[in-house]
Amino acid sequence: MNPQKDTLSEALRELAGASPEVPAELGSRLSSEFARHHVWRKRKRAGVVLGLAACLAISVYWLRPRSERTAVKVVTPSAQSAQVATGSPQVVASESPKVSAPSLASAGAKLKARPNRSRSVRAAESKQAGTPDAEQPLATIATGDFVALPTFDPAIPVGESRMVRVDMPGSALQLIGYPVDGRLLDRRILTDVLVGQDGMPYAVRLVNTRNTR
Amino acid sequence: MTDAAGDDQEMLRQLAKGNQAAFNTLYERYKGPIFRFAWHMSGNETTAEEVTQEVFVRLIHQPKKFDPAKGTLGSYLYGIARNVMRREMSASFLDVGLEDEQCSDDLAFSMEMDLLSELDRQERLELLHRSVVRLPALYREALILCDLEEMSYPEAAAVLSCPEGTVASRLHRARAMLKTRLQAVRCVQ
Repeated sequence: MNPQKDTLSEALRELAGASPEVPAELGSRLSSEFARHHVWRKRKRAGVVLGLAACLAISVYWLRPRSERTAVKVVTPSAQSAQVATGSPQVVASESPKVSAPSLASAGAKLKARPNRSRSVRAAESKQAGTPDAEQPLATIATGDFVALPTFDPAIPVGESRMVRVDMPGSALQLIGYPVDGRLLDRRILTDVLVGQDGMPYAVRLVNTRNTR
Repeated sequence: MTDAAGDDQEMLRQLAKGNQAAFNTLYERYKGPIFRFAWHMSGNETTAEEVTQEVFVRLIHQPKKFDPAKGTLGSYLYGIARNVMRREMSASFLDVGLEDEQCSDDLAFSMEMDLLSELDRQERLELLHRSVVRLPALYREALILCDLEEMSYPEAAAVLSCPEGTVASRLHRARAMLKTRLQAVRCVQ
């Protein structure tokens, strides 16, 4: 074997053995870095888990059956329908309206004719039988469909609201925000009004489509 | 898979979960080789410390980047150290090739060393270390891994990402360069 190579190998081995030691503070620095990194990682993971849980809770809330939510699905008057779920509405027949009349913006609503009509409506129909207006339906919203009024606030629960049946002029109906055809302004209309706990009318539905007098 | 490699993987898994003891075990196992490699490559302790720190910080932050299919954890850590060293060297004067300046360099060494009739151990080691550091990086890596860290050719080839034959030829060339230099300064023989 080459003696020079042996000598070189020996010298290199000696050099390897004489290498400096790793500074002790490097170990403590890295240990604290390790701890810091994993604390941050745990916090990040907790944040992600909380976010996912919040998303899940919101999804479950919105995916529950509508009746459980006791909420009001509001469609603007232009959409021409609103569905209101109430706790136990009190029906009062022919009670005079006691609602305030906020400033309203009326939209042209078309009301659907309803096949099951009351006697008073039929009488009114017979009165108008000869007029051209009687040939066409005046309303296109079927009974049972509520139309939300501008006073309705979706954020306010309507569980404790009550329903009041009133016979009111078309002009009053227009005043509370219901879109009334101009021909019905001076006529009386039998209407169900959903009144909140604060006394504000939230939604309105016509009891009959041709119950004008 | 060897027991050591399997143990490294298990430790790394524990480290990824936040087990401080697993990190300490891996640190104790690899701090020496990585630091020595960086020290021989760079020639100074501060750089070696920075490189070692960078290697282990990367291990802490991205333990899942290690792929056992590509090699051992040791090879992976050496690979990180090499990359960090390259970055350091590109920004400094450390990557000085021997071949480009061999004649003038040898002459300077000879003149310097002629003044010293006899070198004690510490001086000889310093001279040897300085000579190793002055080798071109490719040859220096092979010499450090095979002769100083006593790795086999396959292990060194895995670290250097090259065939074993390339490792052997680089090592041969590195030894020849080193011998020439040391003969010139009468450190060896």
